[in-house]
Amino acid sequence: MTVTSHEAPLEGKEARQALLKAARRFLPYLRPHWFWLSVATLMAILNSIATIAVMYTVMAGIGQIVIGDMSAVRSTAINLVVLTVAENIIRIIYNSAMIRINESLSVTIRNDLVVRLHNVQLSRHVSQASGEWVTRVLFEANRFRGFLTKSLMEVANSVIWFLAFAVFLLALSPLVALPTLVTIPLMVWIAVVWTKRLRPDTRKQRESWDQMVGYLDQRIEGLADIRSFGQEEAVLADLRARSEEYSTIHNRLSRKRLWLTSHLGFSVFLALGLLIFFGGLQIINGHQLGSGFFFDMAAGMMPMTWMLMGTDTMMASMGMASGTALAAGTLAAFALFVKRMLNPVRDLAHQLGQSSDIATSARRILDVLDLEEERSGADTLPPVEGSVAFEDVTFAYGDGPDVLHGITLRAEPGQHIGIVGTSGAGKSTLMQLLVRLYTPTGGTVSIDGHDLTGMSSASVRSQVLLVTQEAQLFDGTVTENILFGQPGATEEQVIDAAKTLGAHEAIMSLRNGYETRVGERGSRLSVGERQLIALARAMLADPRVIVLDEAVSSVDPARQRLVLSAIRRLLEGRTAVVVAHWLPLVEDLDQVFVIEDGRIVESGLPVELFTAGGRLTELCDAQEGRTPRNTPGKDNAHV
Amino acid sequence: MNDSLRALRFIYGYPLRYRREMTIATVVMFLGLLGNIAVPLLTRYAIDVGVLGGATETLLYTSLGVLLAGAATTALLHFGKRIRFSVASKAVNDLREDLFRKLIHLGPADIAEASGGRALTRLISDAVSVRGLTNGGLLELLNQVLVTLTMLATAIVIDARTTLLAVIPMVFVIIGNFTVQLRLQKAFTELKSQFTKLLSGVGESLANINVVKSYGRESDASGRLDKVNQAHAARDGQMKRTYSRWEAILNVIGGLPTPIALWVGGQGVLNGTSTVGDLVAVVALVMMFQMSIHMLAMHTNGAFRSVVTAQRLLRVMDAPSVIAGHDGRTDVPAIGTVDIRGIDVDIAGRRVLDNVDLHVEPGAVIALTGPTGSGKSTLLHVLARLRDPDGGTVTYDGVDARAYAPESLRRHIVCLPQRQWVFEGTLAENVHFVRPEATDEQVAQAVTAAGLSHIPLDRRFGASTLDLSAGERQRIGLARALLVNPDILLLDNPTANLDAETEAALLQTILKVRNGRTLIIASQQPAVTRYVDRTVSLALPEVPAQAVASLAGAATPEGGKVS
Repeated sequence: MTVTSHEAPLEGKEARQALLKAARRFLPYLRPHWFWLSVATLMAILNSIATIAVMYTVMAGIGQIVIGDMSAVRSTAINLVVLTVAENIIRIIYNSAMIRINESLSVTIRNDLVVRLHNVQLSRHVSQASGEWVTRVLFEANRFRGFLTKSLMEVANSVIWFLAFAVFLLALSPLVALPTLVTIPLMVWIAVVWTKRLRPDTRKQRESWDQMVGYLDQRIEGLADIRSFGQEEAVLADLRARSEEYSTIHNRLSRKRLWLTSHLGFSVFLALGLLIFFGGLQIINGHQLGSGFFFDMAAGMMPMTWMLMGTDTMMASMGMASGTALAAGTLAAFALFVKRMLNPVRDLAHQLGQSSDIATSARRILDVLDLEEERSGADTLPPVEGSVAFEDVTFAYGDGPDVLHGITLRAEPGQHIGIVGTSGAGKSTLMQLLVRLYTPTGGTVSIDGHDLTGMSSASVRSQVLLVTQEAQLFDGTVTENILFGQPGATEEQVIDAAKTLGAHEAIMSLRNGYETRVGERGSRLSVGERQLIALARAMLADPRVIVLDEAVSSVDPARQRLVLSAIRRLLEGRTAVVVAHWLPLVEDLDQVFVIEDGRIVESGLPVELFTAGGRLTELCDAQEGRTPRNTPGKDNAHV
Repeated sequence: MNDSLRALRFIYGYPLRYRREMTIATVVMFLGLLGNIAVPLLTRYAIDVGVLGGATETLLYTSLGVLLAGAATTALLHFGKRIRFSVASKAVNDLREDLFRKLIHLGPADIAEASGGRALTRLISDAVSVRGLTNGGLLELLNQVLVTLTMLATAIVIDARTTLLAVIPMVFVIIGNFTVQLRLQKAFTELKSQFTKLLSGVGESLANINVVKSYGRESDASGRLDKVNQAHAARDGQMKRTYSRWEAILNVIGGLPTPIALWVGGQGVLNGTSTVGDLVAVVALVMMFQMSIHMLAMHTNGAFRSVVTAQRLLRVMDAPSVIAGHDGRTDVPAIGTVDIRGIDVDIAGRRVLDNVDLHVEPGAVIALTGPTGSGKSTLLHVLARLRDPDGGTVTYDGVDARAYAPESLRRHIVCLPQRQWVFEGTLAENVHFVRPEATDEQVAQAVTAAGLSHIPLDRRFGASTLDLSAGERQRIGLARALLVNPDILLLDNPTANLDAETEAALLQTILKVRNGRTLIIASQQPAVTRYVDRTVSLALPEVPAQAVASLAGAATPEGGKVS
């Protein structure tokens, strides 16, 4: 399993374009949630208003204390409690809207990725280690969902808050507002500058991290070898050196990020310092706060606040006589709330700093979503008898060289043909063409005269079944694994399939019989047991044509007779194309094709090829003594 | 509870290895946080003396004071965090090294058992979580507690009555937070295991994509995952919803101190017992106290979650090693005779080898046959001291195997695993790693002798070594063994995935380069027996001995014990 990725993170313009492209692709995911998104936005607006109302209430309350009006102070306290309750009700509604959206998004994005990965061309799976796909499906999807919901909403919230706050502040007093409002662009500017400076380090850190993961991944794979050769200490020393190298890069980035945080942190103090000085100066100089155009404008906004605050406080504060009182209140409220005022802006700045990371995640997800799906014809293969024909078939993987050259062969219904050859001769490719896992680049593969190229892969695979090299099982019970062959089948049918193959006793001897859990990839069973279950699964699927691709390349001697007889029963009455190195199996066949470098070099009855002094003879000589030989040339009807 | 404490001690043990740095960082950051407390005090002064007292110059001083406090706070926090970052990196590296050391010393089966097959996750994401603990976690919790207490003390000094009345609701908030955390802890663990299930589900489905496609079950397979996915998302949503409701309730209670402070403190101002500045400072401190409690809850939350991670890591660290110790003599002489007497080996509660005896004379060529699960590999591991038996003895020329340091032993006795490991790098690097001090010439010789002269030494292998045939892979293992040139070479099922022709060629090469050394080949293929002097058959514990003899065909059990 490889989790490495050597893609460089995106930067600058490229990152922005990728984000835009991603946004276009991902907005449709948000569309079904327009209602809850609107609710969340509305709540964000109400929340900003409520927060301002809290500030205003405290401000007015302090003002009243300065005047000496105790009755108003009591109602201020009560209003504050009411406002806090209101604020939290708003927050609950906001949260549940966002949770709802999040829940649904994480399901749909992941599901789309999983579906796409199951439907792409098999060759993509060969060229990409499955571990990396897993990372994309789970981690990148999470990250991007986080961006769609949390980050986007945070940005929206910050903007809403900023607007509401600016209006409120300017309404109170432009001169007091100015120092605070100046700090905000300063913070954004700091974030932009630092983000730019961080970029090369972010990229280096990600690259170095990928290398580290790849390195560890490979060492874990090689644990047995490392132990066998006593290289534990050497590898550990190497690991330490690499860890330290990574730490150096990581620390450099962390330190620079820390500068960003510190700069933003200091900005808050700067705002407060400026506020105390300028605000205080104005009060002393007798400038009345809360006058002029902005105050009138704010008055228009008041009725909304009124409803939240209760009218008595409002009336009291509007009628506040002393300028100094209000000024002291304002100053106090600002001092109290300065952190709360600037935190959304700080968060926004942090979000900016992460845009390059998000763009990289978006691209990795889009890479998967943009994978070309397996090409599948539109026609449905009608029920076939099972005559298989390859006519002058050539094939190449992607842009690579041809791996098959002009293959022509036939199998009549019920006939069993064999393909023999050394590793890498092209046998497996041939088999995969027959089940339409790939489409030939030249020539035709047909069944009962129907060219498979025009057929839907599902309809082909319902009648032509490939049983692959390793008996691959899923984590689950034996029954569940067999049922995979035909999900609608009953338990009796499962047992029947196993009985027909002669696998029933072997399964019953497992700890829990058919209910035994096989473990991840069948790891709790022996090779022979796995093979029997895979064969039973094929039996239950009951295809017309069966393709055995080295289904028994490593034979467990304890089970080999059982497996051999199971295969014979499975093939009975079906057309079969068998790739095998296993002599007893080859000897059963009606015709054998020897293939080398993607070409057929010999063909004939097994018995002829065994004696003709050709390639099959060589193959068999090499294997002499490997398995006891039966009399060659038996017909396949026996069991 | 004891388990949790142990897990916490384990995981915090790593940052605490750097006690001096962590102490400095904690003290520095505490001082930095104190700077925050200076702000309300300065504001109090500005209002009382500056605004209400009309002294213009105080405003300038206070502003400068705020900026100074800000600069000091920022600088101290910056410095403290910087120290923490470097400690965090060191702690992560230490933990990763310990984990990897442990993994190397575990048997292959134990690794899967201990890490749930996800050794990489443990080494990477779980190890990295130590970084988070160093930067936040318990020490931050400690800092926060100290700062919170200082805030409280300052507020009490300014106006004791107001402060004490105002913080009463916070007691409920603190209790409430702990209750919520404990409740969520369970959900969090559940969620983590659901995620692992999803992770392995996706991995498995994609690894078996061949089967899925062969049976045309793409939609079933993705549907199955979708179910797990939905369950996970629903559980996650449910947890967040619960948390959101609790948070709101606690927020409302936590919001009470401000109105209380305003009301009680306001009365104080009207009675003339305190000033407007006092009131503002107390309200500010009470608000900061509220925030602090919130932060405390967050850090407690982090500490709670770190227990889950630590417990996962401890599963690896606690797994018993298959070798008793790594000490012993490093001056291992050439090994001739190997004797094993009455050895028993149990793996995962199952007896794999039961009272097995074997005598190997110098230069012998032995085939070890038997069905899957009969213990062939385990016997090889015991012979090479890759695993110590649970009972019985292994001696090399009469000296107990445990007298030697395992790593030194492996210059003399090498056991090649079934599947050869090929890592990203050149062919030469792949061979060289087994004996870093060897010369390039020696590497080239080993590669040629192993029959790989057709591959250039500087040919790079990628992460997925699809371009190597199964036979070539085995030959890389052979080249490694030849470079070490051990006295005894053990081969674990070297021809398992080879066709007959490749198998024969490989076995011939192995014998050609034997050079007088002892050779033991474990294999399921009876063909191997044609190349050896002697065959030893192992039987499955449940299968009667006769059955094995007939299946093994040409096997001639002489000196070996058929168990």
